[in-house]
Amino acid sequence: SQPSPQQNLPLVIEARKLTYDDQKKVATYIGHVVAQRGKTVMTGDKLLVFFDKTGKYIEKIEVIGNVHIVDPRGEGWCNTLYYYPAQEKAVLLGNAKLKQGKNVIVGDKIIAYKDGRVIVEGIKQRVKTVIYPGEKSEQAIGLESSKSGKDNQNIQQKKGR
Amino acid sequence: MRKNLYRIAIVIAVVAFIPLIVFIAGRESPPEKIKVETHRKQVIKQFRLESKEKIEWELTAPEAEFKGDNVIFLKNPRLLILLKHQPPITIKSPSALYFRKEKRIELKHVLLQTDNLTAESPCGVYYVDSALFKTDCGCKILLKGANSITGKICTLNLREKKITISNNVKSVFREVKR
Repeated sequence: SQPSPQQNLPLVIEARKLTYDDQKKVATYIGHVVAQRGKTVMTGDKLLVFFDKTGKYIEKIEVIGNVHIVDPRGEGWCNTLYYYPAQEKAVLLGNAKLKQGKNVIVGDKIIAYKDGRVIVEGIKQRVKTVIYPGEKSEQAIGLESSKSGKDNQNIQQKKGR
Repeated sequence: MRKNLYRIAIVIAVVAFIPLIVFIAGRESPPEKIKVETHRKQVIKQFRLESKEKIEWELTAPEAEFKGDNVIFLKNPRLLILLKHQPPITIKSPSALYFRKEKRIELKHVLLQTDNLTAESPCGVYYVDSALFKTDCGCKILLKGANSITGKICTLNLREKKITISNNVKSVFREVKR
């Protein structure tokens, strides 16, 4: 499939210190870490970039501690974030919160996809969602219902296994 | 009459002395005593130094010049490093100083190449026994896939294949979709 324009954008990471392990193909950034790709900016205390065996492609990015994401579609906070560039999928873990306009989603685990779909899981705490009916961006959230998937507007609540 | 004769005699005497004075004044003063150290300039063509100890390496240069008995100035040196289970690593520079006792090489405008990366730096020091390259004047590391990392203080541990960079760390990953 053709890579989306966002995927061709370079990922720029700045930090106070970096350690790159060429054997494990892992780059570890520590200290005021800022990672930017296009208009999406992630900040955190520590960031790890996992490359594939060849060292060319990024397979996964892990951001740990005070994670904050700012994106044209909204903002997000959590303790730990996993970002998969190839699928443009972000998994927010621990005090995960997404905010879009006035709409807010809170849960233990939030999975956000490139097309705007969001899946929220409550493991220790219940999922909490605040949606303002009149909010223009209500459509954009695209909260998916796991049962039938007919009505994308339903709020998805999953109990932890 | 006598007085006049007396005056004439004085004038003649003075005039007679002038050439002597001019001669003495004109004579060059003896050259200053300076201490001249004679350096034996030892220049070696096709310089080659190799080690088969813990880490195998080979240092070659088209021209090398001994500076005293500990330092060797190398022109266009090339260091080949052969670490176990790794492809050869090369370090090149237009000029460097090899410190024999310390087993350390100070390089300018360094280009370090491994099978996976290329590192460039305006200056740096390579420690032969520990296979460490260090620089505090900035480095740029090109990884595969047009990914690059830059920073001010860089250490490349060639044996463990680890890079540590601090101060102004910036990476650009031009991740290419597979």
